[in-house]
Amino acid sequence: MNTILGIVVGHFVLFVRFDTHHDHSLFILCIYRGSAATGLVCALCASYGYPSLFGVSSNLFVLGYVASLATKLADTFASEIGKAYGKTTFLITTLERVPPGTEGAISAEGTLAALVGGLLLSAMAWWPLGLISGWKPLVISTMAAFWATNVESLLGATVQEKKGLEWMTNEVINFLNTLIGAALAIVAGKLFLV
Amino acid sequence: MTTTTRMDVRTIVELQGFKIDDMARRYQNEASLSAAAATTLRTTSSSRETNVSPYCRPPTRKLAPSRRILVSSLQVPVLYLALISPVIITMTSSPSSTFCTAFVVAPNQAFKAASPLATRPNLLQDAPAFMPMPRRHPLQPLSSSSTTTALGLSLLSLPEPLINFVTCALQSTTAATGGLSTLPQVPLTHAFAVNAVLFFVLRGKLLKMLTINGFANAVCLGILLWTTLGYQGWALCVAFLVGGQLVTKVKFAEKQARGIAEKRGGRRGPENLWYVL
Repeated sequence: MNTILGIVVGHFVLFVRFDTHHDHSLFILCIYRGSAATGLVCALCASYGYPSLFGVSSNLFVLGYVASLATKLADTFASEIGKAYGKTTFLITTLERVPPGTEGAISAEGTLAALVGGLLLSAMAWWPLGLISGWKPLVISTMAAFWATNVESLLGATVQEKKGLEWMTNEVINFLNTLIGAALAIVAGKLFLV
Repeated sequence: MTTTTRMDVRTIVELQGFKIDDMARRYQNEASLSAAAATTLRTTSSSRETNVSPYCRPPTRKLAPSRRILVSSLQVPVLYLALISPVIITMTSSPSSTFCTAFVVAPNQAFKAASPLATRPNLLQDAPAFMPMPRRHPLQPLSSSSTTTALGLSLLSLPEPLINFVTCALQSTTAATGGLSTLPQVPLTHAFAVNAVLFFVLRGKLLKMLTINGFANAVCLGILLWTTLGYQGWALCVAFLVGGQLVTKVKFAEKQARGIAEKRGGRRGPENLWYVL
């Protein structure tokens, strides 16, 4: 209980933004609204909740951390490689042809790049860093990253910046993306690793 | 972050083709114009040469980029400590200070008893994170026995606290088989110090991929990651940043031409950093 309280309070305190560029160089404190960094939450849960928190062991939280970073890299790879090399891009919902750069557009090149990006970071977490080890966590992290990236495309196509959902900006979608990636990895780890 | 200072207003007016002198002359001709306003406008036209507008205070001197980074990256931890210090004081004074020890003072001590694996002798668990140093008069000898030998020894060999510091800051929290083998244990002070050095060394590279606000937030994030997962977690995060940056720059000119490139030339601000991770 104390751990949870500590994490919550710590986050509330830490999500403070400083603006020194403003007139008269005053510091402007802006409390971030409703955002939390998935990776950092996983890292904090792993560390302060050692050896387990909420019935999830620390190692699974570490896997969640790796997966959240892998998801983000997969997403970056997918969008940037898709924008650069994507030849034919479809909308994920209706499979219409759309120009590259549209929200929720997918291409074969981008999808492949997502897989590569996720694999790259997961492999890096295995060697040389040793945060995860073995084929199973590697595959879980990569696949979680891959599916979370696809879900992000779906979210981008369906809910982003639609009427009544103006708060669903790109940043919020990104946050949900990493959350889904980490959650998928932790659930898969719970199913297949323990 | 759009910052429209008052200085910019004048620039905008000039860009739109309204010369302030012309405006002043035109308004002075008008009969309805009050004397006070006319004086103001005359000051405008006279102060044009000195480049000082009466409508705004002289612009504040802009800090050099390096100074700005220093200022903004120092603010985050300092304000964090300032905000959390009342909590520390109240929590430490009360008998049930588990929260405080768990989060702020010594994160490693709280779950020492709970974890069966944390039996490995650890230098840090014996030393509190914030160790009060005993005060010593500058003229007082270091040791009571012989001043010269003590001084000579401390100059020749590395002092024990420094060795402890380095080994603790760089220790691995993972086993060879992967996953955490021990309690993740790098105290906040050590993480702070290591990150301060690393961010100072890497500032040139990092500022190409982060905005200044992003940099300040990254310092904070780096400290927390080093505390929780050691250098491995930190290095993975850096790997992500570098990888993302490399791939953003692929065919960047082409993307820019088509208007689908990332904002700010691919540099990341705090909103990217926090939402992203």
